[in-house]
Amino acid sequence: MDVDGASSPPLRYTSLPPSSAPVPTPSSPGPSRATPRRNRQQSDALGLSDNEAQAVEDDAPQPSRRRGRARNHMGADVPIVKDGVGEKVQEAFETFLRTFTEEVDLAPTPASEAGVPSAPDGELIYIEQIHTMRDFELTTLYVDYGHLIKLDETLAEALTKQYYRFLPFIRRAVHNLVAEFEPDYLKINPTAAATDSVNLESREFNVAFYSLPLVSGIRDLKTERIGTLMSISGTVTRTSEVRPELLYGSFICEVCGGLVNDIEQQFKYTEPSLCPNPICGNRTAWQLQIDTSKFTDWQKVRIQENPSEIPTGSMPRSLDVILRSELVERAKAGDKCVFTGTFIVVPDVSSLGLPGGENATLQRESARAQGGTAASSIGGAGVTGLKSLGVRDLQYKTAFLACMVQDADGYRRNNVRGEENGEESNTDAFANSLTDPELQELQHMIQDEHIYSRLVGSIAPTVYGHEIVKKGLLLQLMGGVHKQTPEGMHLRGDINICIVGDPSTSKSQFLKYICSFLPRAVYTSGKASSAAGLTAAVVKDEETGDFTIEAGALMLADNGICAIDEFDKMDISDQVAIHEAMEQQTISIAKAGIHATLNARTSILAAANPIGGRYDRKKSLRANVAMTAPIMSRFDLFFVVLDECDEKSDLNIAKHIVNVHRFQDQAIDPEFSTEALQRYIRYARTFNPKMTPEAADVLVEKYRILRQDDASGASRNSYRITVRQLESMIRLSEAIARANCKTEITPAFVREAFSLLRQSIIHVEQDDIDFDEEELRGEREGDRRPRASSHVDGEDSQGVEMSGLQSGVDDMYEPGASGANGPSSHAPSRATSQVPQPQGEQGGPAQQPKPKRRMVITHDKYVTLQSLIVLHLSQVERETGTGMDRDELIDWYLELKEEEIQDVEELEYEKELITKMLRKLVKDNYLIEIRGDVQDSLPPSMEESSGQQTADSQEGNVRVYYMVHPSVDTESSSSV
Amino acid sequence: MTADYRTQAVEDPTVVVQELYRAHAGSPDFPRLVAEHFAKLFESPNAFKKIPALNVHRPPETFRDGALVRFRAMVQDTSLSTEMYLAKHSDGTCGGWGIYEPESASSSSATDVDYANLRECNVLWATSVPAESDWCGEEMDGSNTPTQTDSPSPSSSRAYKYPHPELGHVGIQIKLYERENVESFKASDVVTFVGILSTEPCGLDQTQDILADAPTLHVLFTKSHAPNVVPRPFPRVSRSNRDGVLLSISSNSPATPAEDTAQIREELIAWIADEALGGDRHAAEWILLSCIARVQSRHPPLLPPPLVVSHFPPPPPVPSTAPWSAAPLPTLSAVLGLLLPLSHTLSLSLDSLNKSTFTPESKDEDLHAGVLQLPQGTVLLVSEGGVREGQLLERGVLNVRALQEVMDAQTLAYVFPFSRFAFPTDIACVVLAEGRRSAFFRAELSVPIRASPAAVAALYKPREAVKVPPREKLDAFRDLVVGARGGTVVVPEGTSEHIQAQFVSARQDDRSVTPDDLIRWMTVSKLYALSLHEPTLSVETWQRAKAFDDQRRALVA
Repeated sequence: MDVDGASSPPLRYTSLPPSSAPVPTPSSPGPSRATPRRNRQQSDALGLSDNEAQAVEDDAPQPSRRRGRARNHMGADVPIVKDGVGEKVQEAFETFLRTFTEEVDLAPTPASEAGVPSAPDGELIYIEQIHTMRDFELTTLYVDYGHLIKLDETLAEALTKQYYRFLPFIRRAVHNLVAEFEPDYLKINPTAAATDSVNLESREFNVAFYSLPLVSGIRDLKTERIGTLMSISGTVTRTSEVRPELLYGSFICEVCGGLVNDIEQQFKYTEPSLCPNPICGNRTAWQLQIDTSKFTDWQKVRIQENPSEIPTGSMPRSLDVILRSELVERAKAGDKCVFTGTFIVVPDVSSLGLPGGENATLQRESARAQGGTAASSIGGAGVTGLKSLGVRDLQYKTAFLACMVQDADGYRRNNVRGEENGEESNTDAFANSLTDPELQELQHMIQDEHIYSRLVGSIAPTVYGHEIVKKGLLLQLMGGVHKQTPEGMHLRGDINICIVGDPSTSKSQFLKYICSFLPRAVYTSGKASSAAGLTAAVVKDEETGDFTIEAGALMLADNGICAIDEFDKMDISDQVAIHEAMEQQTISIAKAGIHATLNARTSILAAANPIGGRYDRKKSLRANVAMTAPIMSRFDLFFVVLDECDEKSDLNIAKHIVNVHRFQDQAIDPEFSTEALQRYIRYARTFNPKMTPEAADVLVEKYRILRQDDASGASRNSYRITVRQLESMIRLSEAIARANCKTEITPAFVREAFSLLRQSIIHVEQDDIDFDEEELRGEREGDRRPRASSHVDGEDSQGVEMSGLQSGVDDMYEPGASGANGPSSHAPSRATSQVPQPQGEQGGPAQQPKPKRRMVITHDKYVTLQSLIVLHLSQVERETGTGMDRDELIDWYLELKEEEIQDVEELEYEKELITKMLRKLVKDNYLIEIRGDVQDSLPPSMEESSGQQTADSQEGNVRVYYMVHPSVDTESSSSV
Repeated sequence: MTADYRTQAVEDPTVVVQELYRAHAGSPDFPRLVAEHFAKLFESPNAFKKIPALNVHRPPETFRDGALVRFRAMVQDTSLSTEMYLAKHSDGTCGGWGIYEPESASSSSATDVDYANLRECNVLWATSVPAESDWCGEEMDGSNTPTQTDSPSPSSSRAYKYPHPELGHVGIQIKLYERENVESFKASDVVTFVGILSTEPCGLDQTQDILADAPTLHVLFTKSHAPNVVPRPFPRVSRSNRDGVLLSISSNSPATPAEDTAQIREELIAWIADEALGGDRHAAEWILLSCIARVQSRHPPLLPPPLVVSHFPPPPPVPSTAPWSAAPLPTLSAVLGLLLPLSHTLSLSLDSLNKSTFTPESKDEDLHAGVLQLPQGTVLLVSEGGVREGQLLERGVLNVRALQEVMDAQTLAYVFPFSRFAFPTDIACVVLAEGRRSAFFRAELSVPIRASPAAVAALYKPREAVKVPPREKLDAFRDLVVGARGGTVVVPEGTSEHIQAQFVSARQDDRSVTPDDLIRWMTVSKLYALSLHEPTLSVETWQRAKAFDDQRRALVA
């Protein structure tokens, strides 16, 4: 084909009355499209000036024959300026399309001659696409922006910066290629060409870019972005009907009857300015020829900011997006879409009817809304006398001219969750979006070794204590990694948590905290949910009578957290829905003829009240909560929050409450502000941690332990341990790794995950502590519960260090101690072998006469005692730097209890109790037991000490010291 | 800046803007310059008062095009799209603020609009402040408003954008050219906009083909308001007897703290009790505490506790000849209106619950106001007296939930297509319930009213029958209530020690005492101290407040 567009001729392609002149050229739209643009925007770097022309490409319904206005770009008297840069872009883009193959690593030398493809081997995907376009009768060429960057970064940059300016050139490039590879496809009716060249219709080709690295929000659209290539995301709120838009008009001169073809319509109804017939001179009287004019599909959709992008307290912004040709009907109301295209300025709707007459070239946009072509196709009967109306200036508004629509969820890189093959680029992209101080703060946080525990401390600062719950919430905010199996099955990464507890124990506060923390969180109450529904509802639109789907709480929280209070009071139907949402992450709807499966990828944070109002420790968790086992097992973590009634915690709570009222936010003063925490979490979520082989081994082992535990019936699990718990453990490990901003999951993370899970599912209900049973168990070697052995491994990272340290201590004392007591009493395996001896010493005599009182205390008391002892010890340690002698400790305890003790018997009982208590604490890794004098253990005095010890032990019993186990967090122990 | 210049600015602000532009041509941030210039020009309260106020009594139609006005308004809708305007016309003159190119000038350059000169301006919708009391409006706009026209001006054409469309109001499109702090205008904020009034097509009608014009205010500068609109000092100061003008506000002379606060408080309680509660002083005192409650902090949440006044008799039966709508409002409504700058009475009936919408909802890109879209600091009196047996429909349930959420969390959901967002509110609620508890709402505080059957009719006596105390007394009442609303109470170390110890021992004695009780005691005691205008919470006040609460609990039980 004659693509002579390069030297755009000054005159339009006109077809004069048959009598006067032959058709000059078969109309070729390429040049004609480019020309008007080029003659006006040369100097404007931003390519702004042609926006108006393009942006306003509006087939106005009022052709207004009388409008006698100067149209400079149509006038033949205006010199045509060539856009040299544009030509180059066209050339480069053509080369890109010709040469790009998937395997290309280096940019090949650009083809020197446009006609000769210098393609390397491998599939030329874009050339292929051109063939495909023909086969499927498509007119849009889809170009992966990533390819463009890979091959020709300069071109990509030029296109991004001045997309609007170069748009006609890249379209011409496609046109040229089609002309070359599929010449027949260029015309809509090639066979007719021979007979009637005037009626030849040529196709319009479009280029759609996709996979831009960055997706902006509607709020980011600023005037400086006008004309650049960009992607924006938003939720479609309404779509107009599809209408034809006039692209090129054919006009008949009403004076001489001559035909003028291909009058480009630039967002407005445009007539030829002057009849090309030299003897005619008509400027005003034109009639549109519909059958020879060219139309394209056109649709306007309104999009609204995605909820996650709206600053708190602001209302969502909206924007019009213009879709053309094959893009129409790609977006439905309610879809979350990513649009690629450019931000443009159009004269405002609102100036319609009023605007100063001469400005009428820029038609109001609503003209289009009115069904532009419907009106224009009727012909010239438009509004006249616009000129006489008003003196007001135009107002302008912005719109987005899209060349590509994609479903946001399918959008590869910039997934809302900020993951999935995002890798480094995502992490960097987020880092780039921060201001300097923010970035510095973030870096500080990342470098901190103890960031995990510090983060936990900043979660839900209004709630006093409950560190474990806070840990769980942090991990829920972090989330595990979403995975997809090769078969395309999605594995959820969301972590579901349930908090069960006594009334007024700040359960709701946790829920409310999460909702205020996360923009995409929804708070709902199980009791009230049936009114609005957790699931989606099918609603009949009062006006149109159409059924539409109204989002329920779960859908609203898509990609966020759905906090459900009073979970136990939920409707059965909602429970079923929750069940589906928790596992499949979808919600199915089958109502009023609508069958739909909707995404509901939410983490669930539930709070439930125990049956009967108060949590009964005698019963299992399952018996305490009105929930079915399948639902229970879908929670990764369960936390039980109890209303502990003791003076100390009461005082702490009182202090906390009073301080909140005294100092408001200063009272709670978390280490990290909410904003810093939010940034950190967003950053951390860009990580997709992977298991290290060592971690995987630990994971397998821990899972084995859980299973074994389960099988032996030793544990009091709420439900069977299945693969589901393994998945939970993986998710938790991933979340912990994220919290530490690490890309690898280390064994320490797995241990932490395991300990959380164990505390959650096994330690949830604590029966009374029966010391006798405990000891019996300890004595029978074979009976040792697997869990005990896991203790020796160490539960978590600190645990590992601890056991190392401890065995070191043990080693140190080996010589001295063995001299004193013989090998039996102090074997490094602590509690078990030592148990019988002290018991005999202390409990024995006093208890002999009576039937032995069973050493049973409630778990409540156990916890109280435990925190009492640990706190006391840690205080002593802080003050003296040493541990505490056992006898001293017992004395201290007895003094404490003095008032309550009535007689000797009781004294003896208490004494035995505390002894056993201490032993159990050692066994449970709350304390460490050290034999001999701590001070003496210092390396320089090693020999001396052993000597002294020998002396000591000769005097009688070896001294036993207790210290707080290093893995015990003295701050939080009271709240466990 | 002479008075003349100021007068000129009032007379013809557009010219002043144009002159300013000429003087500062090419200034990169001209809109800010304009804002600063005008803000400075009308800095003094007297000069500011010279600007004519736009309100229900002087609706936009009464002003000529291009007049300078001030409009105290509630921001109703911020979701309107931004607009572009030509900041510089082709002849080099200033654009924006409703200044457009004359036709003759534009004709030559019609097609050559220089897009580099386009600037963005923000558009929002504002209405006259809902729930505002008459006395508050008079105080702010001055009493020089023309004698009230008998017919309260029929509301704007977009009545649905006002929370209570049945009441007279003004709704205006606001165009903000100074974009620096434009994001700080949030829905339900009360702001005074000063600018040039004109009429322009409304940006709301995105989806319509024909655009209706709407009164438009091109903002020159804005003035934000204290939460109570009419601030009063805390602790209370004595008024100079002349004119009843507050000394501390109008001059610099040291304020003399009022000695008689406790006495005024008693008188106030007595007045509320006698006029509106059938003489029940205990309930009146709780009403007073509720009236001064506000959101102290959102993180951690220290919110106003909703109060239910139970056993509140229903209104006396209306003669069947009277129209349904004639169901009388409780007199308490009028009493609160006399005391508070912002108060609203919501008379619930099944019909109103099922038909009205409490939450703002965006329909066709246009945010319709909901009944609960009230400015921060409003006291909402909810009367359940009109509820009869019947069916509560879905909308009714949603409305009840919305109000419950306001009570519990002080947030109100705004409904947008495919999403809903919670916006912060600060609305103290008092519910008048017929039964032992409210039919619809859970409230932390509940107090039964003990009125003799004879007094029932007096609970619903018409507004005119309220014995308004003498001017001075009323001013003192308002000082007390409004001042307390704006005050803060410090809890000193000693008191907090005492409170903690008391809580611990209370827990020891009675396990049913929960932390929630302590939270309530703290809230009540701080309100109690506020009502006494005591800036610190003393142990004595704490004990009194706790006893006061215990007394209430005894009554409820």
